[in-house]
Amino acid sequence: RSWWWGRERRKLIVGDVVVLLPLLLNCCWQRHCLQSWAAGEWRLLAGIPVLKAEVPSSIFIAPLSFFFPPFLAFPWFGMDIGGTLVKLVYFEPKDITAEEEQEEVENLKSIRKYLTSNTAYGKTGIRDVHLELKNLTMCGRKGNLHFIRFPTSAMHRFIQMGSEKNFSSLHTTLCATGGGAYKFEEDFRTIADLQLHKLDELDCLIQGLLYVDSVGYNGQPECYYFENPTDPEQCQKKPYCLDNPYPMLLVNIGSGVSILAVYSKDNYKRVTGTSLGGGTFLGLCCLLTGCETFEEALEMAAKGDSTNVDKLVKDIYGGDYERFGLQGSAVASSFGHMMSKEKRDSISKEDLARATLVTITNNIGSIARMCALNENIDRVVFVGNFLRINMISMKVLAYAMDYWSKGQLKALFLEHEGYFGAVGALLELLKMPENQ
Amino acid sequence: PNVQPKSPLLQFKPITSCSILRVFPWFGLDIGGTLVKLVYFEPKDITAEEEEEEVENLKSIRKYLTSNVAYGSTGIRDVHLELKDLTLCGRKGNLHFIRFPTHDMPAFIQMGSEKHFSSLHTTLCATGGGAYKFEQDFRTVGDLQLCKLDELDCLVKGVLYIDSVGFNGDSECYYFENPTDSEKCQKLPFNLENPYPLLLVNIGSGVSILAVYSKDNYKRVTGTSLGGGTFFGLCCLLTGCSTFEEALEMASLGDSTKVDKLVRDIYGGDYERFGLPGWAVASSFGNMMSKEKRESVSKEDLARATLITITNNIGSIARMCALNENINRVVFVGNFLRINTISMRLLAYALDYWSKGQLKALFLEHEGYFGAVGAFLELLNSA
Repeated sequence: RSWWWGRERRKLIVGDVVVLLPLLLNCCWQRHCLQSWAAGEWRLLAGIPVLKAEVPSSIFIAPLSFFFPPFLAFPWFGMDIGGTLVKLVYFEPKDITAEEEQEEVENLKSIRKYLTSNTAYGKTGIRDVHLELKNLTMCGRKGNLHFIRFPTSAMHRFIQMGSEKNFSSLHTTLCATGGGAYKFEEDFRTIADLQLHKLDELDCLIQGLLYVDSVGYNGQPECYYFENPTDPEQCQKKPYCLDNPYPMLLVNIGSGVSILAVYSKDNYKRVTGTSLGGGTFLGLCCLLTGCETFEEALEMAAKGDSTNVDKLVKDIYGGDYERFGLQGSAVASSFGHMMSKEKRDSISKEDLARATLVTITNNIGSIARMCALNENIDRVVFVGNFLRINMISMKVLAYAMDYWSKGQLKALFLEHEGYFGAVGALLELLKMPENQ
Repeated sequence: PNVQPKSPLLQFKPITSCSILRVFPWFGLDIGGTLVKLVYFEPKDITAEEEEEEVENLKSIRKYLTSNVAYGSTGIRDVHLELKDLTLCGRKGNLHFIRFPTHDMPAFIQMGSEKHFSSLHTTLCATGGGAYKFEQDFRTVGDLQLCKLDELDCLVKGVLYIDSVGFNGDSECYYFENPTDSEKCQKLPFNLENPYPLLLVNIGSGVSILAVYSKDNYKRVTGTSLGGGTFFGLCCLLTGCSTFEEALEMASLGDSTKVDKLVRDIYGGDYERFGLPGWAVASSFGNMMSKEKRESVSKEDLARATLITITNNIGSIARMCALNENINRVVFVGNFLRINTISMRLLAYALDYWSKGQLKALFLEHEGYFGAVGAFLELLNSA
């Protein structure tokens, strides 16, 4: 809207009063259009968007509207400010006309170019190129959806950058979810003059998930599962059709864990949660092994042997605990060997990293299984950035769900792991009648 | 069987089937993942005759056990738990509670061999995983046949028995009122006369959760591998401590909120929509991914965070089970809770808070000894 008024002012300065009136009329019409667009009152009449209720006046003014179709001002962002990572989705329009490009304000263009021509931003920002969704149609526009992440600890830098680039002159509303939408709300306002539109993280998670699954992943399925998860040679990643998703148990593993039972698009409940999540894995790993990043921690874990660290059933029973169906290889006490100095001196950092990963993963799996049992749901979908590049945990979860439930439960995974909250926030933006 | 009666008077002493077949000493053994729990019945009604006939090594065992409170460098007798004047199988005596690390099991078996324990008592009732793991060693080294019993059977029987006889006139079962208020917090007795149904959470090296419907009807609902062994093991790694007592002492001096990421650290306050208060932990150890924060916490803070994390996880899982099984009394036992008031109070508070007062956390004085008591009872039952 503000770019439109800016153009208007330029025309006034030039003295082109003749153009003023119809443009003024059209502005009012724009506002009206946007509201009714959002309310779904439009239909197409000979290819021209037309208000359902007011056909006569539409026909009169519609041609003008055809040249200035109602739209939400760019840029289109969705933001999820989590405990550890900020997830940002950005819609890059690919159907920009020559006119639009001409009118595009400088900073909007520079944002678009900055985001799409880089895959790394500053020291810690990363664009997950492999996750890019191409040729999406959103709100009548065609474009690509980009997925960007950076640590929440860099949030102030991000807000600072928004302030320096005068982001507020483009887009005074930013749809944001996650705890940080509340925590940083004031900073956004005072430093960058941006009003955040706060959304609930679990609402966004579900809407985002359903949307991405519905559009698919550039022709591939978004949802998958593992066949033969414990057999390194036979283990296969296979697509899963989530067309009839309900009911499903959604386990979101971020810094902490939330478990939701989803019965329909608008009906879900938060069953429970656990504080032993991705943040616990990374925090403990940093303490125990001296590593500094999630990638390092996972790399160490890939090389370690947790059975040197954990006390297994066979270490206590000398074999299986048959009476209650506990195999000798099951973990009886995580880190249970570490009370012995001798054992502490004999294990490696990689063993500790592996044990931490397996402990946290198994605990989540166990709790998820109990919830699935109680809620009578047999499909458990695991999302969240704890699973990013974390094949070990995904396989452990797949195996554990299957084994402990005797084949009743199925563990499912989604390609866009931790981005659903941000997608959900973007979708909320697109529902808004005005982007002020 | 090896006792030769010398006095003719002995023949007229009322003899129950128990006392013929249950020759002293009477032991119950629970060989767990970390600790061995031993209950020993010391007869106090030994007649002059009986004493005369008592074989040497039996007498020496009795004297060794009852005149010491520490055995070797790691064995301990919990004197405060001694049950006095019990009557079992027609005999009057005291029940003693002894523990030592499972790590010292080979030394224990060796001692049994040296003291010719096998000449006294060819059957030893034992439960716990070690009853299976060490069965062969007992036979080959100590010439002792173990009577193996299931640990959860023994646990349930032991709990019911001890609660029925009481704790020297006091209540065995108790709960906490105002658990988070350091001044007002009170330990109050709880009457467990109608115990069923009961959720029994046994926190040893690992955790087993049982739903008990009646004396002979229970099921193992689930378990978790994040138990006492995890707390102890992680503490040793993170703080350099080497005993459970040290770990607890450090924990009592620390502040876990520096280590954990709380809801307010992420939301700036409460997460109202789902009723999560700002002080709730969102991500355990979540602050430790930051180098700055790692350098600012103490070993005590880490010990505290480990304790809180393990305890809360157990509480959370117990709560889910109680909900599913429709049971509102949750009894916590096991040696993780030994001298561990922090965890007990935290469990009491958490269960009450997250269930909005529906669930009650209960505790028992003899914490980790119920398996051994159950094994001991099996000895007396099998005639």
